[in-house]
Amino acid sequence: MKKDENNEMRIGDIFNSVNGLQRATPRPYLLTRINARLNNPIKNIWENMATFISRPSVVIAGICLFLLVNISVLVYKNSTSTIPAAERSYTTIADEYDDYNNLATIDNIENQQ
Amino acid sequence: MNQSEEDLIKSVQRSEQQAFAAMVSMYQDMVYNTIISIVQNDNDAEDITQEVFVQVYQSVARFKGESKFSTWLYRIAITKALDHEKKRKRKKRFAFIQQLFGENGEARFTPAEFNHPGVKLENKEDAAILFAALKQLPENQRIAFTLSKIEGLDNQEIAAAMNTSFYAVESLLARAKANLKKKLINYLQYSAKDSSHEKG
Repeated sequence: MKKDENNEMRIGDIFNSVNGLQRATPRPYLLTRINARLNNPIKNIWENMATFISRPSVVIAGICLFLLVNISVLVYKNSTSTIPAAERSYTTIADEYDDYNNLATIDNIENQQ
Repeated sequence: MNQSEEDLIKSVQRSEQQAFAAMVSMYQDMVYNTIISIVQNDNDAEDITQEVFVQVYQSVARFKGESKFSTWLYRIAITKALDHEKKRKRKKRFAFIQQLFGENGEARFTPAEFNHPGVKLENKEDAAILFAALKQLPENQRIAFTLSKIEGLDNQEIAAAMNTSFYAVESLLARAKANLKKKLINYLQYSAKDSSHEKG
C-alpha cells in the first residue's frame, strides 16, 4: 500500500518535471544556414532518379526481381520442354506396341528354327 | 492574427529578405522546441528546423490566413518531425545493408537518454525518464502531450495544429497520460527490483 503511494508520488514528480520548462533554442546563425539551404541549387530529375536507383533497398529489390523472373522462366521451361501429357501417353502406347511386335517377331524366328 | 504579424507575412510573401529574417527570429524557438521534444536529438532538431523554414519560405505564398500563422507553422514542424522519425526507423532497419553498400553507412547513434535543454537542473533526471516514456507512445498521443505539456498550448490550439477535433484531443491527452502512467509504473517497479538485486 505504502509502495503504491510512493510510486504515485514519484509518477507525479516525473510528470511535473517539465513544468516551468524553458523553450530550447537552436544554435546561433540559424538564418545563415537556412539561407545557405535556400541558395543551394535544387537537384534535377536525373540526379533525383540516380539517387533513387542507387538506394540499397531499390538495388536489392531489383536483384530480387531479376532472380524471380529468371527462376520462374526456368520452372516454366522445365514444365513445358517435354512433350505434353496427352501426347506423351500416346507415345508410350506406341512404344509398347512396337516392343510387343518385336518380341512377337523374335518368337516367330525362334519357332521357325 | 495581429496587424504586425499580418504585415510580416505579407512582406515575406513578397520575398523580402528582412521580413523573412524577422520571421525566423520570431518563431525559431517555438519550432525548434517542438521538434526537439519530438525527435529528442538536438542535431536532428536543428536540421529539421532549417527544413521547416525553407518550406515556409517556399510555400508562404499559399498561406491564406485561414488559420493562425503559428498553427500553420506547428503543422509543418510536426509533419517534418514525424517524417524524420519514420525515415530514422527505416534507416535503422536497413543499417546493415547500408553498411554493405557504403552509403554514408554508419548506423546512427541514438542516445538512450535525452536531456531537454530547457529543463531545470534539479528536474533533469525525472524529465529524462518522462521523455524516454513519451517516446514509446503512439504518434498522435505523443504529439498531443508534447504540444500540451512542453509547448503549453490549450486543447483548442492543439486541435487546430493536429487538424482534429477538440474532443479527439481531450481523448488523446487522457490516453497519453494513462499510457505514460503505466509505463512509468513498470519502470519504477523494474528499477526497484534492480536496486534490491544490487543490495543483495
